[in-house]
Amino acid sequence: MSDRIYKIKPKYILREIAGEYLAIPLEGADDSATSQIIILNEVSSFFWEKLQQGTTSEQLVDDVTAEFDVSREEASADLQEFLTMLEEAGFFE
Amino acid sequence: MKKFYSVCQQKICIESPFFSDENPDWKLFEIAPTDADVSIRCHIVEALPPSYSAERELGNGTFVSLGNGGACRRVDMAVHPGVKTFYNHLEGDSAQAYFTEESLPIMMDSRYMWNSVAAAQLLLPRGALFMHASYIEHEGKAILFSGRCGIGKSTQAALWEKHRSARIINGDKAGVLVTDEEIFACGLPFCGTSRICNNVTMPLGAIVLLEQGESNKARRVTGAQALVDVLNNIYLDFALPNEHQMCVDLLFRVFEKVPVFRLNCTPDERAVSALEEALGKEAV
Repeated sequence: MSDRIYKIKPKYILREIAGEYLAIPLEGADDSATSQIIILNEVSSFFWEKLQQGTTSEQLVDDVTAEFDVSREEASADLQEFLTMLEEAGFFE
Repeated sequence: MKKFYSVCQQKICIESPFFSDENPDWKLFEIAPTDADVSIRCHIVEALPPSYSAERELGNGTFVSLGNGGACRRVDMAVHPGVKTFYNHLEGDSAQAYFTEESLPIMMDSRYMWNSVAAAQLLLPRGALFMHASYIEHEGKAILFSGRCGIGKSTQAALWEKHRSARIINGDKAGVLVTDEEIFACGLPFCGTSRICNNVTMPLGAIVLLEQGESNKARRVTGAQALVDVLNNIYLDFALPNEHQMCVDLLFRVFEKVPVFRLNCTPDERAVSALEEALGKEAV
């Protein structure tokens, strides 16, 4: 875990539908991953909201284990996968 | 010359130096001169106007640039080399479309024209969406079969016509109008290869997302992926800020009132029976 602050760069709005969430871009769309609608589950939408404010991975694991019934190991693995996906698609400042 | 059309119950004025007489589809939607809700002005020019800013390609030979509070699009038509158009849509109720002289008669073909004058963008804030879907009428309600090209939209429509006496309103495209009271399916003045194009508006009974398969199974879907799959069949490129959000807002309202199904299907009557059973369970 590092002290790096992860912050999602583009502006999105989250909308819930049938227990899932849509992250809808508020800026004009193009072909890039960061301007498409993204489908999130309950946990990834939790990460997403925190990442829009900007946070560290350590803090995210603290937050998600406090909110959900999940072990630190499991939360860390899920988070790392999610952060890698966002990083590769160019979401972070 | 000005002509007026009613599309998705919205009054559209098109002003153009040239109209083609070879568009019987358009005539079905023509109305008497009126105060239009939205207006589109077509110009013949020697050279197309410059783009607002750096362009980005949206695919299918369309390049978009943003500026002046709106979007402009430049279209190089692959099927008609040399035919170029340019149109802009400022946030509001009007759009301008520019054509070179040799391009306009080709662009007046209904397959191209309505996609090249920002009509979908103009109608979006008014609650109307254009959708890739074959539109049938069955027992007084509309069923829209949607999905990517080649998935079998017109095949399923034809099966319902043959085996259940449904009427095909449009073989490839449909309007969806969201009002406070009800969700409607609307005919559109253009179609694709089906050449079936009628002006009929009726309550929307169901949207069916098609998937080809070896068996026939229909199930109702309500989740995020289904909404995104419907959205991916809407005629919008979401170039302007807020268009995504406006479209999603409308689709949320559609999903509240209209059941959406996934139909895994074969191209025969068994697909009709499978969907019919699922529709019956939802009292469509």
